[in-house]
Amino acid sequence: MVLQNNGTIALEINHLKKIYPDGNVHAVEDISFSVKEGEIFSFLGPNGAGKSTTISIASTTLKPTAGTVKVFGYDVISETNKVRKHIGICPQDLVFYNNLTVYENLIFFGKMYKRPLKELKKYADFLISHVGLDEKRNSLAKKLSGGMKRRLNLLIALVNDPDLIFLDEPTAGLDPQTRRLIWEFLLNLKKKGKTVFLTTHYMDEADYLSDRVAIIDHGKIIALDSPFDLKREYSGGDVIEFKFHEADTTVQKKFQENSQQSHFKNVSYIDEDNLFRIAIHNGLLTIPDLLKDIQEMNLHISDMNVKANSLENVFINLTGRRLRD
Amino acid sequence: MVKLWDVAVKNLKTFSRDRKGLLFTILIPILFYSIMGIVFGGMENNNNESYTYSVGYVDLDTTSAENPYLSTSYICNTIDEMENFIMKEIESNSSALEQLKNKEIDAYIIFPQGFELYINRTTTTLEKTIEIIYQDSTSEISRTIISSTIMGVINGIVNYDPNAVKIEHVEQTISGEQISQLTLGTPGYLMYGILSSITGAVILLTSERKDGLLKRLESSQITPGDIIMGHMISNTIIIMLQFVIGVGTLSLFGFRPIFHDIASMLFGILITVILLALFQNALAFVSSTILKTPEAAGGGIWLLLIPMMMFSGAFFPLELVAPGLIPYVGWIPTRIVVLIFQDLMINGLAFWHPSILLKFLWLSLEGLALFLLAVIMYRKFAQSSG
Ligand SMILES: Nc1ncnc2c1ncn2[C@@H]1O[C@H](COP(=O)(O)OP(=O)(O)OP(=O)(O)O)[C@@H](O)[C@H]1O
Ligand SMILES: [Mg+2]
Repeated sequence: MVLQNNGTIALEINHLKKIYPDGNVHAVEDISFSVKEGEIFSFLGPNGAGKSTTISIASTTLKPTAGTVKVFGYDVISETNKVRKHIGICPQDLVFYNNLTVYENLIFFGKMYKRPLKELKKYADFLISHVGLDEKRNSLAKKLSGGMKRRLNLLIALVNDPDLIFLDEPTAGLDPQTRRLIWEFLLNLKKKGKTVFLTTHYMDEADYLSDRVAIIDHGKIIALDSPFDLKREYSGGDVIEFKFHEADTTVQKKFQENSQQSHFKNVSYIDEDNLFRIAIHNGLLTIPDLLKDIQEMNLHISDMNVKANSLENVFINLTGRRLRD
Repeated sequence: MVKLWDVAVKNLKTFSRDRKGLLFTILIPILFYSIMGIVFGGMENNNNESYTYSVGYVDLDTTSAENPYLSTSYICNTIDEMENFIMKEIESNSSALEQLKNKEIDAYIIFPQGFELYINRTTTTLEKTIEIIYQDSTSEISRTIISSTIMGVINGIVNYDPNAVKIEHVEQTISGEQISQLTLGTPGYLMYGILSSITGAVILLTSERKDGLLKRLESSQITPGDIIMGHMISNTIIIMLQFVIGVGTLSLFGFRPIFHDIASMLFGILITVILLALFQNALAFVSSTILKTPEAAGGGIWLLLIPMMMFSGAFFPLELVAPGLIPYVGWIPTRIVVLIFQDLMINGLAFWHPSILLKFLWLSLEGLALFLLAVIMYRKFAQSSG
């Protein structure tokens, strides 16, 4: 593959904006970032954040309202064909022909690229065995289980051996075992030097796989860094969540009164869940003190949850909302 | 280029695995054509004798006389001015025979050499004979009307003194086949049978769009032209299958085409079906683009199908029902197809007949124009999936 420009940028997005005329939805608002070659880069964000929209534009099937997108230096609008040669897309929905077998689907989509048939056939079989679909190689796609369909959906994105792979929620709704399988598969691709752009709303997925994560909400990137740095910078450590028997207003007042208390500096209230969240470094060790203080404030705990440091905390701290699965 | 075949093969493969779809594709034409066969098959054709007689004349006479009233052309003009007669000069005997076989004329007259000199009484010949040739299917009554009218006019003009000059006539019939009502209607039924498969095409396309398949393909290296052509090829093959089923079924009920030669008819039909499929698929792409969902497209396409079917004369011959419309509907592709089928299967014309070639040209121009429109609109269609 011939690289243009500085040789290390697989995907470069500049001031990208998308307004769907249908309903005047501002799906993406002025996003800029770049993905390096060989990197696994994740878009983490809630439903409707604009993840799929960004992927569609970057993979040449949707026109942006403004801004530029380059794939290996090629513009997605003016050099569409060159871009398409280098990319593979796994859409969020299952998209393949139900009345073709697993193998036939791979061959059909593979034939849409200029690749020798012999090589393609070999590669299709390699892919099939790599995600444990050997037994289903000649089964019609419609007869596969949900998880197997996801795997097929993913394989189709890889059949042209692309250098940049877009995966839109590749593990949505899969059992933990299959997710693991796919994760290992993606890490393998990375080892081969492939670049992966992934969207997810699973924290653990983004955390485990990504070199870097962009947190996206309402069409904007609100943070972008490695999972480690994101957690260090935004999570505020572990999070302990409480629910109380007392009315929320009473609880809020009590926390305010005691706000000089060191434990209570980082209390946040999540309206929708009637949850009080307290972020503390080294949360587990602090719990006994915290409980003692709460008792002294004359509050009665109805529920309590300890959350270890995670990207979820990052999201909540940045947006004041939970990122739901 | 190879990709369009891959698309076509994929379509046929998935189609052949959809058992219910396959069943309907075969059963519906059998049912449709059987019903047509039952309704029209037993019916004798009563309409092939019109009450206006179209009579050709071949003038073999090279002589001419001074008196303009004692001439072949004056005689024929006089007959032509009669209410129920249309006269038409024909160059040669053989072309008159062909027109008679094709039912373009009901009879023709041959004026012999020396006829004008004879009626001007400038020769000494005592007797002249003109020939009147009919189809054997023409009834006795019609023959009598035609011959007595012609002879009456000639004698009226020539023999103001009835016994002065004696003109005889002989009659002769040629054999043309009796055409059944079913055979007459078949070009229309076949066109309609083909046309109706457009619903399957639009539903397939809009479903593929809804399922994101078109978008997924779009992100690969295949061009819209390849996708459209691929669909056209597979669809044309399915149409051919239905066409063969249709012809087979109608034959069981008595469809008997009259053709120039069988190879020429089959080849002409093949070209027509391909051109109609081109037009029809382009139309399917355009209407899928506009109507978007399978539900809307499956129903909405009938807005086009109904006028195309009615104005083509598929079920009701326009010549009888609405002759006034004929000049205005000639450009409609379905009408062109019906006319070509009529030429090939009933009028016995060879596919290289200029009037058929002209229709092929029209049909392909209209199909190509719509195809280009389809390609232009396609990009928008594949992308704007929700
Ligand atoms: N074709 C469309 N027409 C109009 N609005 C759209 C269209 N597609 C998406 N949207 C809107 O754009 C916004 C972003 O949608 P998008 O699909 O990019 O979100 P997402 O981050 O992928 O969400 P999810 O996690 O649910 O897949 C949403 O508000 C959505 O309703
Ligand atoms: Mg999405």
